[in-house]
Order: sequence, then C-alpha cells, then structure tokens
Amino acid sequence: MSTAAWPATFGQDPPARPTGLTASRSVTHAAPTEEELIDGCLQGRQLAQKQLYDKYAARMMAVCLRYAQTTFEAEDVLQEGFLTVFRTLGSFRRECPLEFWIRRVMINAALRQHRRNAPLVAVSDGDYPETLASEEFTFSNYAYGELLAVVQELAPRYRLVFNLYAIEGYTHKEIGELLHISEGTSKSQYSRARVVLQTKLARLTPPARPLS
Amino acid sequence: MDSQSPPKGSLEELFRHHLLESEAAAVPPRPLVWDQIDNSLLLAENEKYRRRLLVHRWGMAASLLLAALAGGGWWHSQQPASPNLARATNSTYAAQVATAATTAPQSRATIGLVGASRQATETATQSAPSSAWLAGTSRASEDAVASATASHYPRAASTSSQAFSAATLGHSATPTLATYAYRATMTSRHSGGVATPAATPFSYSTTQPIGSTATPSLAAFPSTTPPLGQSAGTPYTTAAALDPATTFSDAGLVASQQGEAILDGKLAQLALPTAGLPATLTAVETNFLPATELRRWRFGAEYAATAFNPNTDFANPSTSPLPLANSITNSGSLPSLSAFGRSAAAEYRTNLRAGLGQRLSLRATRWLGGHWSLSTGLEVAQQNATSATSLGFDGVRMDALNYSNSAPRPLQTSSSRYRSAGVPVELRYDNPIKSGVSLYGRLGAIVSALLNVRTELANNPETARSYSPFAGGTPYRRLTTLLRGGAGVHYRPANKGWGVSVGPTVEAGVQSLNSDTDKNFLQQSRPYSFGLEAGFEFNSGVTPVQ
Repeated sequence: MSTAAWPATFGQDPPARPTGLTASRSVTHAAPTEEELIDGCLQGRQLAQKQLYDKYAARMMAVCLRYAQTTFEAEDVLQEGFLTVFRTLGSFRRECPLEFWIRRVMINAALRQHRRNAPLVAVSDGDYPETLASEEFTFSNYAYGELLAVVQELAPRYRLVFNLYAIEGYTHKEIGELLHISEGTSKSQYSRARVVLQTKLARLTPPARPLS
Repeated sequence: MDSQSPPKGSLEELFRHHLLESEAAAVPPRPLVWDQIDNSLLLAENEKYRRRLLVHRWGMAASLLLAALAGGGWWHSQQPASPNLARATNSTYAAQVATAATTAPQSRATIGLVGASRQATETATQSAPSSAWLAGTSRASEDAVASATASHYPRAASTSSQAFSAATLGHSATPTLATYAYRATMTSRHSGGVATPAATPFSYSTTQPIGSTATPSLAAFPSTTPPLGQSAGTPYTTAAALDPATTFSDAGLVASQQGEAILDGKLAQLALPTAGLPATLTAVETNFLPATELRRWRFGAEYAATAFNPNTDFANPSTSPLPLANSITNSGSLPSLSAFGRSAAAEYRTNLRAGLGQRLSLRATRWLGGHWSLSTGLEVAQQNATSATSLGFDGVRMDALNYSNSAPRPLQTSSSRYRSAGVPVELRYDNPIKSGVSLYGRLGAIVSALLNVRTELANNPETARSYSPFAGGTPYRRLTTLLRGGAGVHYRPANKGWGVSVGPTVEAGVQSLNSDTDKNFLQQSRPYSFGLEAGFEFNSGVTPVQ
C-alpha cells in the first residue's frame, strides 16, 4: 500500500518519535486494518507500532510462555521478538496472515533465547519410566494454567521439541534442522517429553480434577 | 462422539486444545514490556539518524578532499614546466627549445613573442656543435615543439573571431610560430620541401595578405622582417590565423619558399663558425653518472606499539551465550539469566579500556613503478585490554555465584590478552630511490587469525581461562579482517642499501571481534588501535647495472 493510501488518522501521527513513552496514548480512531498497520510500521509511525503490538501482544505472550521457563523469560522473548518484527517487517511478503509470520518470529526468538541459555541450565531428566501406554484424556479435567505449568517444568530441550512437534506441527526433520540435532534425537526427546508430561498429569492431585 | 460425553483425546490433542485455544484469552504482558520496546525502537531510530549523519559527513569530507585534490592538480598543471625536468630526458635540447617557446608568452606582447622565438632559435643554433648533431636531434625537437603547439591550439581556437589583440596573439600563438619557424628551418635544410599545412596545427587563410601569411615564419628570426602584424599593417584576426580548413595558396607557397631561402642563407651563415669547433669540443669532459637500476624487491621487519581496544560487545541480546563457570538452574525468583548476563556484559563494556598492543612483522615489498610498491609478509601480534566488573564477568564468562548472589560486589579488574597471526597486504607510496629523509604513506588490509584469548580477573588466578578459537563454543571470530593505514618518515643513507622508517599507524577491524552478532554491518563494534610503528628494511635503493 502506498503512503497516500494510509488513512488520515495515521497520517496525522507525527513521524518524529517523542522522547517520552506514549504507551498510555489513547486511540480514538477506528481500528486500522492489517495492511494499514504494516504500512504505518514501515513508515516508522509510533502509533501504528503500538497498535500492532496491542493487537498481537497477548497471543504472542501465550506463545512465549510455552517456550520459556518463567514469565520474565517469556517477556524477554516477547520483547526481542517484537523488536525483530519491527526491524524486519519490510521483508514480510504478505503471502500469509501477519499473525502467522509474527508467531514464527517469536518462535525463532525463543530458539535464540534457548541457544543462549542452554549452556547455563543443568538438565535433569528426573525419575520417570521409559515408556507409558497411550492414554486418553478428558479435556475438561485440566485447566490452561495447569497444562502451561507442566510444560514449563520440562527441561528446555524437551519443552522446545514438544512445543514444536505437538503444538506447532513441525516435523521431526524440521525440528532437527532448527535445533541442529538429528531427526532421531528429536524423536527420542519428544518421546521422553511425552512420558514426563503424562506422568506429571497423572500426579496432579485428584481433588483438583472436576468430575467427568 | 456422543454429544453428552465430554471431549476426550490424546496427550497432544489435550495440550493443543488448551494451549492454542487459550491464546486469545491469555494475559497480556506487563506495560513495562512495551515501554522497553518503545525505548529500543527510539534508540534504533536515533542510531539510524546518527549513522546517516555519519555517512553524510564522510561524503562531505570525501567531496572536499576530491575537490582539493582536483584543485591542486589543476593548479599544478598551470605551473610552468621546470627546465630541470626537460634536461633529464634524452631530447634535452628539443625540450629546452620547447620550454623557451612556451614560457615566453609571459610577456604577452608581440615583441615578447619575437624575443622568445629569437631566443629559442639562437639557442638552437649557437649551442649546436655541428649540423650533424642538429640533424640528429631534429626529430625529438620537432616532436616536443609540436606537442607544445598542440596543447596550445585549443586555447587559440576558442578565442572569438574578433580582431586579435597583441597580448592574446602573443600568448596563444607563440608555440605555433615557433613550430612553424622551426619546421621551416628543418624542412628547408634537410628535405628541401615546404612546410606542409597539414603538419602544422593550423594554417593561414588565402584571404589574408601575403605579408601576413609569411610573417610568422620570418618573425621568429632576428633582423629579417618586422614582428608579426607589423609587416602587413593589418590587424591579425582569429579567422585568418586559426581556421584549420584553409590551405596555403600559391602566393603563400611562394612566400614560404622565399622565407625558406632566407632561412637557408641564415643557416649557412650560422654553420660557418661551427667549422672551427671540433677541437674545442673534444676537450670537454663529460661526467656521466654510472647506470643504475632500482631494486625491485625490498625486505624488512617492523615493530609497532599501539593502544588496542577490542571493543567487544556481548551486551547485545543476540550475541553468543554467556556460559557460566558452574551450571545452575534458573529459578523464577531471579531475573532472567540472559538479562543478568547482558547487564554484566554491559558493565564490562562500559569499563573497557585500551591496553598495549604489540606487533612484529616480516615483510617483502615489491616496487610496482613510480612511487608505488606492494608489500606483504607475515606478522604476529599480542594485544591486551582491561575492564572492571562487579559480577565476575571476565569478558566471556561470569561466575555462577554472582548470579545466585545478587548482593553488590566491588569492582574487579578483568584483563584480556589476544594473540593473533596475520598476513598483511599493503600498498605503499614512497620514493624508493631517494636517499636521505623522505615521506611514506601506506594503506592495506590484514587477514588475521586469532590464536588465543586469555582472560583473568585480578587477584583471582583461579578465574584465568584460555580460549582457543579452534575449540568449539568460542565467542570470538576465528578470522578477522582489518584495515590499516600509516604514514611517516623514511631515512636511507646515500649509497646504502638499507633504511629505517618511523611513523604513526592506525588500524580498525572490518568486523567485530566477537562473533555471533546479529547487528548489521554498520552497527557492529569493531576493534581498533593506534600507535607508532618503526621499521627496518634492506636491499633498498638502486644498484649499479653490470
């Protein structure tokens, strides 16, 4: 979209960025479209950047929380991810939804974070059985917070492999390329993560479980 | 599935169901996150403007430099040629004649023109030892004078068709007249022909009076005809003088032949005294300098002492990991590990100070021609830097205890030592044959391999660590490229084959020293150093030709 197509509401936004933080600036205009947001960000307009952030921050925070161990770490990933988004938005070819592209950026930011922190964190498998039989779970017996906590307790590599395979839908071959490991290693780590998760779900206290 | 029974599924479906569907209702991050993003964007924008400003400044500086060079070159080209240069060539005498003819227009008057032509002609005739010698140098002389004429022709052609003033004519036409006079002399003497119009840069119009046509050739000789413009009594116009399309008329040829007849007579008179000269000439001794040849290869060694700053930046969020000495598990109560590492690296960078850098190199230099030489060789370097840290960060790692113990600690000095070997390639500008003191300048690039990095916290030998770039996990680049420039003074004793040089040098990395940075090329923090270098070289200067 050309500059002329940018709505007047965005056109009035001063291009010069004030030194003060303007997070609390109210936006009274109608919500811009995705294309308008992208163009505004490409022009360096702060209001467009803020609106883009507001639109996707919560969803992306949920993504980051799955890949991080703590909320602090997730916010670090989110911050780095959005900076990457604003810096490389020009390379977005608009062939897919923006949200999908931002999600990929966040996952990549999480992977970079993992590479930085991996040598710092000791990995402990814990005491878990080698294999477990497949089990069927009733969805309503578990809450979002519980499942998120269980995932976050996983060892970083297990958490990454589980998220990428089970939630994002990557293949083991793709995961191997992303994490610089072999396809077999990805499979074995996923299998191990699955056992750990299954065991932890079984250990959840029965009173917390609603009656099915 | 039965509508009454709750949804069930595998482990993957359970997590996908809850984690994906709950994304929309997820708790948004704290407002502080946007504040930090906004601040980072502001900094990035400022950095972008600063970079643009820097580019503009460099562009302006380069433009000014180019303008100064162009102005200097133009000014230099406007200076009269030095007689010394002309003497140094084989066509010594011819160049002297040309110089006399081209420098004469300073007087810018007709009388000056005649005087200059006379001077050139007199010099030519009086200094010539014999007719044979004159004939031998005629070719070179012709070339020199013709080139002088050609270089002045455009200026003459650019003048308008209005009547020539005496000053303008004297300035623009002098070499041409000298050429004509000289050609007339040479051709009449050796070939007996008439100077062809095509051989001269311009000829004379048939519409002009005969007297004015013949004047230029005659005006160059003393006591034959009045100076240019006086014989015909008519103003000399540009159209008449400079129209290249015109040719000699028959009348002009007759006049030329008459003039050449006069010249023949003059030359015959001038040739008479030379008959008694041979005995005198044999008595003159000529001391020629022995033939020498410039040595193409020079060899030498150099030592440089510099102030070196590695300028590493591990505070960048996406730089290489900051491995702890001890493995620990992060807990939720502590700030994130990467943030802690960044703050430690930022503190280290803030306190980073330049240290002593030493460089020793062996070089071979090949003369390329003129003042230019190309040198290469091998060099080794050891460079030091210091910083201060309160978090046990030694430039690469930090102590795990500092992470778990957030109590402030006093600053500790952290020292780093970098050892490297490299191959320099430099272009050098100097005077390879001059003895005594001369100036030199050089510019080049070095491909350097980092051999070892050693870090240590002061008063704590246990923290000393050594990093080899050939081992895995090093945060430094294995190979770096640096640019280096220098200038200074070179001294070579007369008739000796050795010399010494000393001067300032400056060096800057093309890339950052730390690897794994996602900063773009312009934003990277590069190592740099500046200091003094001293060198010794041998096999320099000239050598006698056997």
